[in-house]
Amino acid sequence: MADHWLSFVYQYLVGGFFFFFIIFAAIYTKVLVLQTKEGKRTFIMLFGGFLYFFIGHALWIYFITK
Amino acid sequence: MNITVHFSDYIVIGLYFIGITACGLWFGRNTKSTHEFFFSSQRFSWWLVAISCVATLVGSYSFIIYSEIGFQAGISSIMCYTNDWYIIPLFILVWLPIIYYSRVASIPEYFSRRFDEKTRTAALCIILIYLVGYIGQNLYTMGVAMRGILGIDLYVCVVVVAIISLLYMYHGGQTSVIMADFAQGLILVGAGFAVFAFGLMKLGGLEAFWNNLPVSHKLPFAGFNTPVEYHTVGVFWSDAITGSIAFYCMNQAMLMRFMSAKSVREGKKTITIVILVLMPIAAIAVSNAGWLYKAMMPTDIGIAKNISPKDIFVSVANFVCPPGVFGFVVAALIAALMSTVDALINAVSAVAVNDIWRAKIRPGKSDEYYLKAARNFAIVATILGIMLVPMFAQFKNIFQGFSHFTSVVTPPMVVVIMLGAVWKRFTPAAAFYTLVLGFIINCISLWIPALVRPFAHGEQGDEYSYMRSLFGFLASIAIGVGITFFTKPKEEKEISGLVLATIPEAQKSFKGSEASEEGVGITIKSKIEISNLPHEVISLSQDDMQALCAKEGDLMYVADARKWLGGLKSIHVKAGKPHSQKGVVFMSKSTLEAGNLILEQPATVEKIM
Repeated sequence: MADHWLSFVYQYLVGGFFFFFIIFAAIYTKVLVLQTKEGKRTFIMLFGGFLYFFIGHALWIYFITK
Repeated sequence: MNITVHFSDYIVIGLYFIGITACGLWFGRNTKSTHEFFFSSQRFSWWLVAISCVATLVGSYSFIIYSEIGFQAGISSIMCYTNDWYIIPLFILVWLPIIYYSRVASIPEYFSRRFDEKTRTAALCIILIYLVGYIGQNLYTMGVAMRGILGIDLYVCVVVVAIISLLYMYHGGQTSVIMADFAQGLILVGAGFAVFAFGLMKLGGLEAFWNNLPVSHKLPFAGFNTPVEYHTVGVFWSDAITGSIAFYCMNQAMLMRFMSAKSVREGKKTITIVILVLMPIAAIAVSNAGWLYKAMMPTDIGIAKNISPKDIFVSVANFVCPPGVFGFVVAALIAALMSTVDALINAVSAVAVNDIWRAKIRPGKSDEYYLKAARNFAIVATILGIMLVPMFAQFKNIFQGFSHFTSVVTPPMVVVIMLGAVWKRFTPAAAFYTLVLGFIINCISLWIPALVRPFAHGEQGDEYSYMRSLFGFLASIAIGVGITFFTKPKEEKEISGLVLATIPEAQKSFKGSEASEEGVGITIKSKIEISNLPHEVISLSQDDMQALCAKEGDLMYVADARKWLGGLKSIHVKAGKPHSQKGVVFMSKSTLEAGNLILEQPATVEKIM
């Protein structure tokens, strides 16, 4: 795997583990309740931010190296 | 470094110093208590806190270091500003609610309540080393830049700039810091983009700039584990994970900034905007001089080809900016320093007063006494920061030097904060030994680098400035988890509100009754009228109470309706018995004065909880 894609995959795999682990813990302990408006809003914001960086980085590498 | 400074540049720099000092002194003129001095009475809007946060996050070292990295590694120099999102759930869902609702005044205080006194003392030592070290690092990079620009001795620059930032912080505390940092945040981002714009003009436009960069310099990530000075895996562990957790959760200055937001909801909004929008913008502002220099290398537009990496930002800015604008850039460099250092000085002062002076040495004194002590500790913190400058001067690469420093100090703290906030079973003994043994093991690894090698992911050399973070992180987790299983945890009622699973209890205790989110976010406009209600209690009409879904006893927030004030004139109150005059909010004269509200000005009222 090219060095830049390895950097991308490593960062989002390991970083993603930290990210989703805490979200899972918050849902499990009922601190983040997805059924409430506030909970749903918080989850969408968190997940949306993750996708924003993930897609942004992936497209960036793709267009530079294609 | 050949730098030309015109008279107009000196005028701009002088105006900046006068303006920022006046701004800090003016806004801090009402500071009369330690709560105001440290937390600005928790009243600011998200946008004010967010922009001031950026100024605190961007230190004077940022322009110097990221321009250096931008030249050597390209656009991947923005990695450090775009890799914080992984730890955001920890901050938004766990740490911020715990700290805010539990009314924790300092990180060591959290350690005292969550664990015990000896863990607090250990945390206190690490936090003070971290904060004072951070002050020293900022002062050093500032001094290096100013020596190059103005030809003044490094230590003279350091002392002069430190005294000016201390001056307004000493006077107004957190309010002065936030207002000055708000202005400085705008200055430093504006100056960064001014350099970029003038640089692009010199190069012949965006296309010429882009075409002159090699492909390796256009990617968002550096090499996986090479070069040793800057690589993805190293930056990931030392910056994205341990660095970011340390910065947002362990850094007292950031804690105080978020505690000054009017609510947890506002704090969440702040961090989201900071990381998604403002940090990528700041990354471009601080790095672009390095990219421009790289793009200028193949051209013959007249810039020297042998500029030292540490001088790239200043040299490029001086080359591309016309007189006057360069003065603005130099002011931005100073702004970046002052906006970081003022917050750190305030933070050291808060820790020293809350965790040493008030807790151990002089308990039970008046608030006026502690306010005076806070101001004295601010002076001590500044002196200590200046004394650390020679240490940072020993490293060839400043970023590597600071990474070296933080990779030793932060991992044990980060692990204790994470496990303490998330895991109920994590014991006080485990927390204490994680801090002490984690720190010792990390120090030992400085002499025996072979300990780090199995975790180094192929990082070259023997220094492991970056990968020591992973080693320290894993070693601290092993110590913490291992000892937890052999020691006794605290009773559940003793850690109520201090761990993830007990956040609803913290909310309840913050409000004084069962908390509800119904109606939160709705705002109504009202006319203020004075009555003989108790202090910090307001009365709204029945209709307004219904519109806000509020009940008697709910926590409310009343602010001057002029949104651009960002909460500067506002107060947290409790909802009292409703009345019948729609659109009128009654409050006592003392409440009006405490919130700096104006009787003739309309106010907005919203429910906080």
